Amino acid sequence: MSRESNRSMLGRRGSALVAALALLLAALVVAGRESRADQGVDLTLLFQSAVQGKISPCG
Amino acid sequence: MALDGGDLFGQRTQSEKDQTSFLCKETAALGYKVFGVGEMDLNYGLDYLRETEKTYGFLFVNANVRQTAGGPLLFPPYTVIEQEGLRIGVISVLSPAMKITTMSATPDQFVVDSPRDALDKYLPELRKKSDVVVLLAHLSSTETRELLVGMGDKDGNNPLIDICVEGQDIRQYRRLNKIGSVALLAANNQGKYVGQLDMTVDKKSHQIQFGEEPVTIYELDEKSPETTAVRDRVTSFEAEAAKKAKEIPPDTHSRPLGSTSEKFLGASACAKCHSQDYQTYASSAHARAWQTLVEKGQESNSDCVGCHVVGYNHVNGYDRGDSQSGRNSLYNVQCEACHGYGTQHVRDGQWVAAAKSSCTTCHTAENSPNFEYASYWAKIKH
Repeated sequence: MSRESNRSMLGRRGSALVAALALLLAALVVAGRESRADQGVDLTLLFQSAVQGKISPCG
Repeated sequence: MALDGGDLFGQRTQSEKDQTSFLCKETAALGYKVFGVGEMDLNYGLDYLRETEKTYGFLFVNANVRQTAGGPLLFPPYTVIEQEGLRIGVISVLSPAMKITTMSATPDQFVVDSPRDALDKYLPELRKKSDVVVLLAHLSSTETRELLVGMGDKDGNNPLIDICVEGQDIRQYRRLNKIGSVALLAANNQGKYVGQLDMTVDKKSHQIQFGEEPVTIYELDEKSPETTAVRDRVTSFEAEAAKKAKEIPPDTHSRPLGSTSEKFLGASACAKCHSQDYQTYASSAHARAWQTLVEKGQESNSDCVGCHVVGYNHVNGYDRGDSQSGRNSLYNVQCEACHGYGTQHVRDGQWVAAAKSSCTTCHTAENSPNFEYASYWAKIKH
């Protein structure tokens, strides 16, 4: 594989899971916030699908 | 509220099963509880899925998968979550087009009903029990859009579904899509994206209002923050996985391609007649492909090796345990990785055409997002 693709794999795939976990932790804090107005309830939905993939970069 | 549209589980290999176990543990730690069922989630059999639910407090919902035609559903068709004083109904369907194959000792059989029939049956009762209804649609994009027609009232007054999370195709919707009044969302592809939808639900009418840009797609690239504790757990998992991979006997993977009557001869054999071409290869990144795996400790990772050797999926291809016939020296992306068996060289006349079409086997959008034939060919022109 080229050096360029190696860098891409590192960035795009290799660290994806780790970053996902970290960010989700932060985002979940946002998800349960209090209602904003009397008439309405503010809701935040976090969503994802098909999360499986390589955790580690190949090379 | 965090929802997963399905395919939490991995491919049908032991290494991916181990990875699935790790991912489930981490996903549970993040607070995910409700999942749609993807066809991958049944890869390790129903017993494994049930055990996972029990271990991590997960709930898989699905309204159209059965063990036998006419038999009971395998999962609860829907669930209702209490959130901020609202009742959030979550229902899920799987595409009948997806083939489900398990790797359990006695393979399970599954029947997937029509998603529309399933929704027609369960949505009215779920609507009555819910203030907001979310569909986790593990369907293709086309199937999802067809299914949603008529599910959302044009004025948003009496919709059967309020929000749909599309779970199968690799895509992300960065803006709010609407099919009728249904908000259509997607953030799929190997855990590299997380979607966020912000909304305000009227306390009395339960109508949903969205702001100007209610959807945020977080792209989880190298710029995203990492937490040390999670990083440490991933590092530990990687080390354990690498150790296990080295313990697997060589040449135990399946080789679906090629023929027992053909052989890979190795680049040194090619060099005897094609010395100039060999020099081009020797100075290219292809000749250093194996070393990049070694540097990352991935030389035993079956998910990686195939694109760094000759003929990993071919009969008589690279085998790290076979020094007698020299198959253990078929590492790096040598001539025959693109051109095929050296023993076929003279006979089939497909030498050049086969090579040209082989690049994208490994230079996929995933592995090689900047791949473009002309400029890449220029690097190895011969």
